[in-house]
Amino acid sequence: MGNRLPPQPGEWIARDAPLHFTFEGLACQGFAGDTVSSALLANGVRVLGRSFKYHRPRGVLSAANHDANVLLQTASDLNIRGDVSPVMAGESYRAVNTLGGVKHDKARVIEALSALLPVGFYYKAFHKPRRMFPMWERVIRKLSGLGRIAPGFPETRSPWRRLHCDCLVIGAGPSGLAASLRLSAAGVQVVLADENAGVGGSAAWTDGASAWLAAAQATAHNSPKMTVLTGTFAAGLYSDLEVPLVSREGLTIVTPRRLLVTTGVIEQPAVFRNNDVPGVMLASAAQRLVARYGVAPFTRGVMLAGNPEACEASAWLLERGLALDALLVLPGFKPTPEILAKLEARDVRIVRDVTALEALSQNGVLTGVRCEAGGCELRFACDGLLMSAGWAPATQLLHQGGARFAHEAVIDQRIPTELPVGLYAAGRVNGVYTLEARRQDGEAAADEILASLGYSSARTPRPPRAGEAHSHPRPFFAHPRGRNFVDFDEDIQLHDLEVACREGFDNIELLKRFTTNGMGPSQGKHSNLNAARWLADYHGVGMDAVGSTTARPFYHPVPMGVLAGRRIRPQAHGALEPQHRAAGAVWMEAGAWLRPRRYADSGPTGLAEYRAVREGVGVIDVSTLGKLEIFGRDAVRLLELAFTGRFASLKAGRSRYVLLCDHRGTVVDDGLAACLGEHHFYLTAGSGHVTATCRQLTQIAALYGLQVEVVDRTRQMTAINVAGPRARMLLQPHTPQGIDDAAFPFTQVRDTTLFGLPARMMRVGFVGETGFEVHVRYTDGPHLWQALLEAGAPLGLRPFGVETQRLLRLEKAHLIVGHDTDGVMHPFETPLAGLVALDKPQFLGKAALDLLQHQVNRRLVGFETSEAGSEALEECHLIIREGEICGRITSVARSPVLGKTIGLAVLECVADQPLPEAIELRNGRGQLVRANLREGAFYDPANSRQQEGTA
Amino acid sequence: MRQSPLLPCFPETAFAQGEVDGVTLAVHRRDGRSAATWMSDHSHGQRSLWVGEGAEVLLAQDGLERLDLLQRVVHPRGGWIVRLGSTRFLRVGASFARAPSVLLPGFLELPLDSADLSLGGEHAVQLLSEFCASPISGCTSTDWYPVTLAGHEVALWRDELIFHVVCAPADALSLFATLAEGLRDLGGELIGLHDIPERSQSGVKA
Repeated sequence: MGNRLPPQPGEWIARDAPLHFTFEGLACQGFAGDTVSSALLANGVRVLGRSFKYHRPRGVLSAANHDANVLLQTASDLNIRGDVSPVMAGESYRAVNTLGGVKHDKARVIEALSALLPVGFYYKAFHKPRRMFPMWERVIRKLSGLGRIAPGFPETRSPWRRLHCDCLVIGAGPSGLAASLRLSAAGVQVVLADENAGVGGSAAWTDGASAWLAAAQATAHNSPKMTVLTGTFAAGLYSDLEVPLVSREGLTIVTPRRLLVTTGVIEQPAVFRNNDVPGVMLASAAQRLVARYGVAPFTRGVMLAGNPEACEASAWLLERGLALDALLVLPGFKPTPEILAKLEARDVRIVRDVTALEALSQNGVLTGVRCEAGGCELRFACDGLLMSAGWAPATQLLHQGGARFAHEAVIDQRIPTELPVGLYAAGRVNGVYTLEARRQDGEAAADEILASLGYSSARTPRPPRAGEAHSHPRPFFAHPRGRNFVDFDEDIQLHDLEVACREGFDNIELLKRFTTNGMGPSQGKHSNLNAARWLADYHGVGMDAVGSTTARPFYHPVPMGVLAGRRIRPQAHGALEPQHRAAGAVWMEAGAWLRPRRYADSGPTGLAEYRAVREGVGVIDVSTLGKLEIFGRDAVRLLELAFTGRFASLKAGRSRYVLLCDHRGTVVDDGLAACLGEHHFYLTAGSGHVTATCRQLTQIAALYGLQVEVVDRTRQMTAINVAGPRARMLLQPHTPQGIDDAAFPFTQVRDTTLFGLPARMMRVGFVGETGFEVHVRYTDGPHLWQALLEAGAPLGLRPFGVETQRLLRLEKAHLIVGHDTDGVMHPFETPLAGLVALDKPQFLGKAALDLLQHQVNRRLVGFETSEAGSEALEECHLIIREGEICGRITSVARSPVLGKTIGLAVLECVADQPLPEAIELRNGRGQLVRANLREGAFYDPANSRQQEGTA
Repeated sequence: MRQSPLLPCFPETAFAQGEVDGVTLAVHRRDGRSAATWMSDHSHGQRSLWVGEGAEVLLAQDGLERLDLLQRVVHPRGGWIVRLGSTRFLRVGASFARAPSVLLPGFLELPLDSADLSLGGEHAVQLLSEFCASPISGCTSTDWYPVTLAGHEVALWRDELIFHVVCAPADALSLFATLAEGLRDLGGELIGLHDIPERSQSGVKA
């Protein structure tokens, strides 16, 4: 291959393992250990992608995925990060974001239209004329996005792993390695993670580090106390120091006792005309390519020098046989005479105080550099222009962990000044720069960690921070023709920052959002610092005054399949599910449960089920109901404090409807409280809210020091509702005690047996007929259900589903909390106001309800109509009064027994003023349908059928 | 005769069923296959919640006073007991007579249906760790260890080399499906209760 160097010490490629692949149809060869980017450069491929907005040709910039220049797609994956992804044998890679390939991208014409596409143009364009928007929408959809999802992508499930350790070290450069070795030698269990495929970081191209690095690597990999995870990045830092590590194998969630961040620094580009041309790259990128992959990134190069690392990198590259023709020194940077002499001895021309800079290109790749210095114009022919202008500390994880920072003027870098307990930092992210200092800083951090874990050890002192700046404060070269890129991901130029500030978006947060600087796949790793520097210059203030934007997870893009893991979806299964399935249930989701919406043999309308309940007997599985056993000396007091109603007078064997509000007075749950004894209650609650209700009751008990236990039995019991005029006829022969009205009146409850099974029976009425709710142990449920079906067959018994249940309860105008009520509705807006005992001294929500009783601005009302158009009424259709919206429907259905449409609706009203007699509802066809308001139940308003029963 | 909530997970074509301590569950794998990591149904026996101040009186009669929270303690009448709250206890045993609640004020016994999945072998900890944010190694042989496992509220307990996952019956099928998938990926197998390897048998019986 043309651009391979001789084998480099410690290189990461295996030259005895060649592999073949293609890039946009071009046959290429790489080695095992190559990344896609390194293999392509080795094959002389210079243009590896196209930019997001202007579709400019792009090459390797960082070789570390600190930019999104090299994003690739294959037949089975997309948005492959070329700088860090290993090249795979036999794979066919294509660049994303092109129309017709990276060489002949048809979308490159967009750059010619760039004058019409200034930053933020999309806030102001495409909406006039309105009729053209559908066309623009199609165009934008076609052009936008990165990568194409193919239906043939293989479905993979990558299991999550969990690791617990004493210390997680993120970043295996010199400071991270030194710290890990110190910690593991002391007996601490260490997980060391690095996003690169190997450990060592920049030590691989630091003079004097090779021997130490080789020894450190060997120790790290052989230590029983150390788990080394390479090719693994920390996606973020969450509470309790939890860190998700992402690798090709999947997600590992690490919960360490201590966390050490040694993530180093990210090299920053200089900003000048055509700084994005393939061939222009960061100096550290060149070093990575040489040291790790043995790739010569150029044949003739020029170094742009803004910091000491520029000179060191130049000398390092020269020693490895690369040709550097010139060192262009930025104004204000003064290289030492010694290094300049060393470079001049190697025929490197030194150009001081460069005041203008421009990359020259032909056919989209770098051909030379034009600069000005001392009033003269200079040109250098080259195919490599390396930028070494400065660093941004990789502080994202520290920010997420709650660290505080200050701008350190000498090194011109934000450094952590306060770290939360358990979180530590060392190395260049901490402002320490020389190799020895970084190792010492890592060991010092390790000693601090050891002390905090209770290990006694000598305390290595923290080295002083760097005594000089390692970043140039102003690596900008304006140009009247622009194309000087600040953010390579989003094609943001210096001029765009100016436009944003002129339009008033002149603080760092607004600048980011208006221009999208830092919002691309690399999330500002190479652009945030330059934008902040530019903004500081614009306002004439220091960097501390400008501040920074917030670094949020994820640090690098994470494949959604990795996050999905095994796609676990916890479900709850009722004991009767097999029975429902056998009966042809049509399912619906109810939270974590599945419930039968209806049964297949009921027909499409479910009328057969409805008639069974109204005319005969029906059974419904209500096992999803919340079920709480409340027992203890203070059981009554707990209920009095939690619920709006009164319970002291509730006698054993009786039940009462309960209402639960939160501290704001909002209705959050309802149910039934059954008294089973002086200190014993059984509470049913809404399926979706029982966990929160149980938690609330437990909190109240703890707050008031009550002697009471609240036991959640929701998932341990089966509950069945038997309802209909023949319900008593069905059950009486199979239970020892009488269940007629005299023996078992409405609201009574008893523990008894049914079909020989221990059962708790309650006389209830939700659907408006004689009803019995039977609660049994979970494992008894199938026996009970089967027994009911067999005994009920001669009576025409049918199981009925949720659809029928909702229709039946609507005919009784019974509301469903969370369906007919919303997140702010209080009891005085509903027919439940009578359940609120405001004369109680204390209960949850009382303070708010004392006020809200006088703030009734809307009401939950019942309505009925037979008007034309009523068949097209649905939930959430609006109530219209004098052309204005004044409410909405919450429940609506056609009542078979009443022969009309009925429903519940929330209606705006004026407090203390009577409600209108009728309202107008707008149906789905836009028609206004008149409906009469109605108070109370639509069906059996006297409640004679459910309370007196029809034996 | 009660059925284990996990019985549908061990099809009769592959597992011989039997009654153990009043519960029907899978007792033998028909093909006799085993693996280095295994999972089995351990839902036999009897479980009750004892609730109320009277529960402490009852326990004191058997010399079980001042039980520590979430610590499993052997019960002199067989099985074990664990304190779940200030006046809440879980009683587990092969079988035990229902407590004389009518004679004891402030005492309530609630028979409990639950599922108990046992896991053992080479990768048992790894299997559980994948689905649990709490450190599995933190569960000792005397702990009752409430955790969230694969999104379900469960309790772990440990019988020397065997881990047990106890959950409400409504959670059993979903939890089983998730753990079974993980078990498969690790090359593990489902086995019957009586197939549990001899070397893991210490303290198997409740």
